[in-house]
Amino acid sequence: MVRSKTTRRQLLRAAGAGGLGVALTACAQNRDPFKPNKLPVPGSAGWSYGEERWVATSCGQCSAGCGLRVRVVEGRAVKIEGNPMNPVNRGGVGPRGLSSPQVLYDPDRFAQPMVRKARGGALEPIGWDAALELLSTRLGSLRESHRTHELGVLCGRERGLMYESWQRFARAYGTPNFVDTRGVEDGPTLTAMRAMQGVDDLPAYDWANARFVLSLGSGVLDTSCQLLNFARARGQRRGGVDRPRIVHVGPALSRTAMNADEWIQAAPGTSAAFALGVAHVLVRDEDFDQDFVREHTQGFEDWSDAAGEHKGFRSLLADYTPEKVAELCGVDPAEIVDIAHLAAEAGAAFALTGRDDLRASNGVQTAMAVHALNALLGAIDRPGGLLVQCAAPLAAWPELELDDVALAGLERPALSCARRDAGQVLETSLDALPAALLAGEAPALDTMLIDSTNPVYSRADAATWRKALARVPFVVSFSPFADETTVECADLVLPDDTWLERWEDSCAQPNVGRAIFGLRQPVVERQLDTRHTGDVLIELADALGEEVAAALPWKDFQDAVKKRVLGLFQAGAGSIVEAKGADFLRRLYAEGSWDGESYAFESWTRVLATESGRFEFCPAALRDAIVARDGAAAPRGAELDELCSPGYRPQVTYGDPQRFPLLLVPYKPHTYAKGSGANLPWLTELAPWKGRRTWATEAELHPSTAASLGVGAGDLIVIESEVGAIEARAYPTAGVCEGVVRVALGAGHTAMGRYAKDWGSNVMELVSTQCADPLGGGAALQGTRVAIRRSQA
Amino acid sequence: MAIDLDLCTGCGGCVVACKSENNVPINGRAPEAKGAEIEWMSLLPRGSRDEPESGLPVELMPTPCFHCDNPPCVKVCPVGATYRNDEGIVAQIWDRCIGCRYCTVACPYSRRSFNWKRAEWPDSYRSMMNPDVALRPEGVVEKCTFCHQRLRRVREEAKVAGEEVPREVYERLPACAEACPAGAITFGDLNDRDSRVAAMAGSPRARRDYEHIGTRPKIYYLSKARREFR
Repeated sequence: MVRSKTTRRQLLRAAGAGGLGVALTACAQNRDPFKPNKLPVPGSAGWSYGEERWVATSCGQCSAGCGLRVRVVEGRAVKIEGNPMNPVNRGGVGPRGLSSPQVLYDPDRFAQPMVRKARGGALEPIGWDAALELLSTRLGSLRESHRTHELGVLCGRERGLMYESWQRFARAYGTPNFVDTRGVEDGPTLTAMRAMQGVDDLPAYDWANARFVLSLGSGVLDTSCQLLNFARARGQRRGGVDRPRIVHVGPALSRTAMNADEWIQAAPGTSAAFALGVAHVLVRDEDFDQDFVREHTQGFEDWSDAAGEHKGFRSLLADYTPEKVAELCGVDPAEIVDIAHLAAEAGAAFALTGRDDLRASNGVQTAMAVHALNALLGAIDRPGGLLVQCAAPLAAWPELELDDVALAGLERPALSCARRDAGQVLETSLDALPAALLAGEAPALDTMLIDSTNPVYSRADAATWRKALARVPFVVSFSPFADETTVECADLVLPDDTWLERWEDSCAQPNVGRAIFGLRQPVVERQLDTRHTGDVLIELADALGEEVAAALPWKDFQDAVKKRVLGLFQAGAGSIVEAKGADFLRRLYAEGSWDGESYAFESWTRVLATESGRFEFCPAALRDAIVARDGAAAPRGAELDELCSPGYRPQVTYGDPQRFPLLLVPYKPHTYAKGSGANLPWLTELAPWKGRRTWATEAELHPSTAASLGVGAGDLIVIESEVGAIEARAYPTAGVCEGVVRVALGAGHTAMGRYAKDWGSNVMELVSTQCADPLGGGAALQGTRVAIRRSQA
Repeated sequence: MAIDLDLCTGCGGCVVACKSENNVPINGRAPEAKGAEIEWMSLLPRGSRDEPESGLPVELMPTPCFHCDNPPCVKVCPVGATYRNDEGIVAQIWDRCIGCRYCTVACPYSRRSFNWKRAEWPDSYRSMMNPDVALRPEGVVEKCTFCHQRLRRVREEAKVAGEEVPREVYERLPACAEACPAGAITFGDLNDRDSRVAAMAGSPRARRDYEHIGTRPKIYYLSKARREFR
């Protein structure tokens, strides 16, 4: 008998394996679409079946920097919740933060680096080594030929460690052409703070102690990071604490107006007049904080110096009688008097204004008028007023040592929109960048690095941006998403990790005053072949030689974060105090944030850092900045004083009032923001309220305006301006002033993935770059005149 | 559940939190999706009582299922797919639903949604599905469950530890209540006199939607006409 070599056991094993193979293939083919992913998910190998962990991190969806706890199951981030230990949000989180799993799992984000071999061609995949080699060779040869100034950096970040890293990289490399978007949204407020208080930061607001809040066209609930504070301030009634009375003045029934205790409908662009009217009443009735004004301000009364006589704020206010202001704003004079008295009686009151509304030709003066009102109310650095955010005691960066190549490069003339050194009062205009790139015989830049901004979509005059970027021989984008700028203009894409995959700080805007450090750490493993832009910068710097590498001397960005956090440990104070560094880090990783001691009010030397050490109503620094910028063309004497003092100038509008009878008011919705959240369907489907359209652009207009145009609810209309036309659906509502069309920003993408594109219209196509603020900053968002007609379609 | 509209800012955090917790499908922009949207928690506008003609919403009401004590939907369900459980929560068994949609018609608050088609999402989105909540096939009705999976979890954990679930844990237990940045939503046992939710339900500011139709909803809205529009 011939015995088979195969034993029964082997046979069974083979059959079993085969069977299993068949079963697995069958599973793969008939995968149940209603079963969530188990394996393989990147990083899930280290997880047991059904295992879940909660990871603390800081939200990266807006600049409020809320603390989050992320539920991670088997390596998948499934749910975002607020972190009750975080001082910013103390639990709870808004819709944008809650939508962040859709950022991480965006089906259309870049899976690996991409390269465009020839302009006009498509983006093709490339490996990281080859991509970095391509860029470092290019930057290396620029540096060798002493043309470092031909590198441009366009950085969409506004604060935090990544922002600082970009700045250091640019300096160490030797380019003065570091352009950021800091002034785009908050430029006017920043200018007012720098000029009047000498502080280069936005104010924080003490909502918890305020008794009266005057919102002048602000979008605290629509656009700003003060949303959470506002929400909480409204909820303060319990526990014996009074909540502030919130009065909103503005043209439209925004989220803020809906939530205020009182909404006063006023004409668009007249916030400054309203603020000055209130100030006029306070001064007239001697109801202002006279001690503060006497002790800590300058320029309230008339004064004279070498340049001659100057009008003080008191004299300037004489013009703004309630009657005159009421006429300008279209309100009742008694309301202005009422508000002034309410504010004065409240004891702790402040006024604030909005980002979108300040982006007008009178933005800086409006910000100054509101800020001057705050000074009269005695709100500067007092409980229930405006605070200056304390910086967290992070360890200092190592001293930057520049080599000769860098020094020579930095000496070269910079583009007009590049950020200059500290002490800059006026904001530069990002909208000047395309013109600067298009000027001259040869292209001004050889290579441009673009991080976290999408100007081809989000800026006015996209056509010029496209042309300008096309003129730069090599454009590199770090966007994780296939946005317009990247898809249309980039030659090389080095996709960043999403914020749920990377090490960083929370880059939060000023919020509660006292020092806060929010940690951002990876909650899941990297999903795709992307890399942290911080790590890429460190690698690039290493490849460019010792001198540049010394600017970013870390193993990777996690190492950089750790080294800086050491300062918090050494401070030995705040919410986490540990004897051992390792214990400190463990707690920081677990809690996700560190916050400092309570806020010290009235620390005048810190918060009034002007040259005079006082709050300046008619700031000298601003006058000097105008003269330095404009030279001989600058106005002089009384004219210069008037331009540089809080005042009301009617907003400049663009377009022929006959042909374009309506005023366009674009606004940032609280969901998909200016378009950066348009790829998240949860936000797209979150209408202002049930019944409003989603996946569409609505144009809000007053019923009488709609009736005069013969337009009904839901009609498809065309909105035209001098520079463009868009389609929208009419939404007649008494919530906007007559003669105004209010349209949300953020829709109408032509790229950025399946969920963002091909719905709605981009209102920026209507906005022109013509109405600039003489006091600096980007092109005005407000002030475009439009006409409406029914669509033929 | 009690929802304090004087605290609510209408940010929509509850709406998104609910979708994320309960794997609610993306409705999409297809024209046929209009009017057939699935949403368990919605922001409904409430107009001004003083000036109804202005059409301006004065308040936005976050509206989950009202879990009525006298639920019309339960009465019409021919197969017992929806029922009022021992605690008073109106529950829904997806697997038992035959898709007749009587309940969606019976619900006076339109708080029930029907799956007209099989939900679709990109592969990568499947990674963020909550493994604790079953996905619904086409042809069944779905609605708010008061996050029963979260309720069950805290109870199981408490049982293992041999303790009672503390009241504070219940207060912000459902995903909408947990997410609310303003702390406007409070959950709990209305029969427990010492609970916060019972105190809120007893507030003079409290009211229920369409109380007069006798459904006895268990969602209390707290608000006072405090806004003046000039």
